[in-house]
Amino acid sequence: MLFEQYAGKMMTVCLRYSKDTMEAEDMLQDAMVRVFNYIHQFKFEGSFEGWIRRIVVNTALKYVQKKKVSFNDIDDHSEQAPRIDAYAYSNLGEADILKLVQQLPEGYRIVFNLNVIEGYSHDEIAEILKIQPGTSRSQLVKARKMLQNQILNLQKIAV
Amino acid sequence: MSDQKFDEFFKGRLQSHSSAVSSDMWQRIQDAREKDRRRGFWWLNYKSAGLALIALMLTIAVYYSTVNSQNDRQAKAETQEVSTQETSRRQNSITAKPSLADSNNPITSDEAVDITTGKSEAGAPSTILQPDVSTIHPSNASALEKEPTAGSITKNNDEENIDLSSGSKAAGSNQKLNVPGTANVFSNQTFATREKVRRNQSFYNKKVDDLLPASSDFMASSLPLTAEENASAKTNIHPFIGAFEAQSFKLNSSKHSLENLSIKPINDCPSAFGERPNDWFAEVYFSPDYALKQSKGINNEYLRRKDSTENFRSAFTAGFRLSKGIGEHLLLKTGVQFSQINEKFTYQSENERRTTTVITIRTIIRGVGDTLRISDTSTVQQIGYRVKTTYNRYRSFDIPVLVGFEWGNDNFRTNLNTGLIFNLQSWQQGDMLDTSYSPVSFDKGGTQVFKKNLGLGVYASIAFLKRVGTTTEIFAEPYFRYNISNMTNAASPFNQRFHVAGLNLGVRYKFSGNRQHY
Repeated sequence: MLFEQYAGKMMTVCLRYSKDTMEAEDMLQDAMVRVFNYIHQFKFEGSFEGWIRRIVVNTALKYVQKKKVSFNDIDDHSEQAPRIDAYAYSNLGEADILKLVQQLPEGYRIVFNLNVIEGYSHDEIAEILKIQPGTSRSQLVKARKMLQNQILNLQKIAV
Repeated sequence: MSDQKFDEFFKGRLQSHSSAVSSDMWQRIQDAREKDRRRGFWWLNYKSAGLALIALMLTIAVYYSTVNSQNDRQAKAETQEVSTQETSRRQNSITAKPSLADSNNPITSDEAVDITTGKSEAGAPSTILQPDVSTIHPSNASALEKEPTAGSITKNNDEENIDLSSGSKAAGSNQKLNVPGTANVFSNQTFATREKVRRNQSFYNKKVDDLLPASSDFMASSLPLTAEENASAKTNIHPFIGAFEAQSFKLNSSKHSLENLSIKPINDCPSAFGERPNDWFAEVYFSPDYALKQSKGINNEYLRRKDSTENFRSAFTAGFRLSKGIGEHLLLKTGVQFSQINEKFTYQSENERRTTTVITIRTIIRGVGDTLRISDTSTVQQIGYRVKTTYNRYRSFDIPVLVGFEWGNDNFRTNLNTGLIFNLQSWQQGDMLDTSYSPVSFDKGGTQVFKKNLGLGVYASIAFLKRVGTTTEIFAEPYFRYNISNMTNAASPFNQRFHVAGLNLGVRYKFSGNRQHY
């Protein structure tokens, strides 16, 4: 069944853009309704999963636009990203990584998702979110830095 | 770890990860879809609703048209019936005269002109024998001439004009009524007969006056007269009636019959505000259009490049509308219309490489006498650009439902219209740029880019109508159509819609609705 096959993956997409599970479920519901409403228009000109994922991402972005997210920089006094041993990454499961992404500030999280996971360029992100490309770049840098700090903290806890 | 590896790590781990979905998610989706379906029930079914509306209006139009034509026929039949009754009354009144005359002024059977109809009374040999016909024909006139009568009525073909002498004149001149194509039956009456009739003249005229109200004379003038009436007219008919009858004869002198003269009663009164628009109108129109494209999307660079490849060429609309008056000035309009927008798609792809294979065959004759055939194969690669040109077509089939406010005079009217345009179906065909800036085709079968139904549009126009015939008007109608919905679907990387401005040029036909308005 189509829903069973793709719902889990699409739920992950929604979780990446939302701050909690409840909001992610709302996103998923709206997105799947759209998928079923327009499924007859899919012409097999590309990956079906890619088509669904695009609808889910667009739905998530609509939620973001409704919330009017501010893309302000978070004060961070550390000059450089912390150095993390490679083995620290190998200990991270998908659920942990997802949680790390969810814990990012909203602006960081959206830019990180769009650039790193979805593959949008900074110019495209700037158009989508109606921000400057430079803002997108700085948000991404700070998101990476914050994620690395969090991973470092996890490593310290594990040790 | 570098940023790139860091990103790849996250992407690799999250790209295909599945999360748990709540167990009631499927039910929630079903409920949401059902809610959407109920909310959009009307909009999803407005196609059939629009068709039903058109069918209803057509049915009503046909019904009213049929009823009106039946009313016309019935009114005509009633007119003829009333006239026939009038003739009968006149005959009866004239028939009654001899009996009155018998009592007051006895006319002897030997010399009196019997003006009874049909059958002769006692003393028939001395009466004027009239054929039992209802219309005078030349042949009947001949019969009159041939019949020997005491009155010596003879034909006078030379005198075909009608003497419209007034009643104040002498009885002899008053009775001088010549029927075209018939004998001047009176001019040659014997003096004795004329004197006899003249003595009864005042009495008969009085009776005719009493029995025939002046108001009905005009209607009666369209009736065929019997031979008896003509005979009686020569002696007894009221001058006023005689004048109209004579007029009728004159109008139909060529046909020698009065049956073809019918005066249609006027049963359609104009209102105090001038001529009212009739109930039903049919409009056929064609419009050259100009389409304004509105595009939005999350990627402006893509939109800019896409729109730069598409240029408006032409557009038109053609349609048919039915209008129904619903008040002194209001009109309700609906119909069907077809619209098409043409665009030219031009795409120039750089660094196009074309490889051409060249085979060169040479024949060498060597000294020993043998022939050697050598073929060389080489390839030539050309680098340049290629221009791809396609004409894009955006077609739609719509139902307009409009309300109009109309005012003006008989010759020139103005009409303000507004309403909704319901799209029944739309087709798109052509090429466009995709998000990778490569040309892709979309065809009539539909793609995931464009919708098959454009949804609703808002319509506003002002029409100027000029009358060119009793039931026909030409009009020019500048209009603007604003489409509310996008023509692209949700999965499309951009939103696009067309707003159309045009000038409807057409003809309006007024159905023959004769219903009276107050």
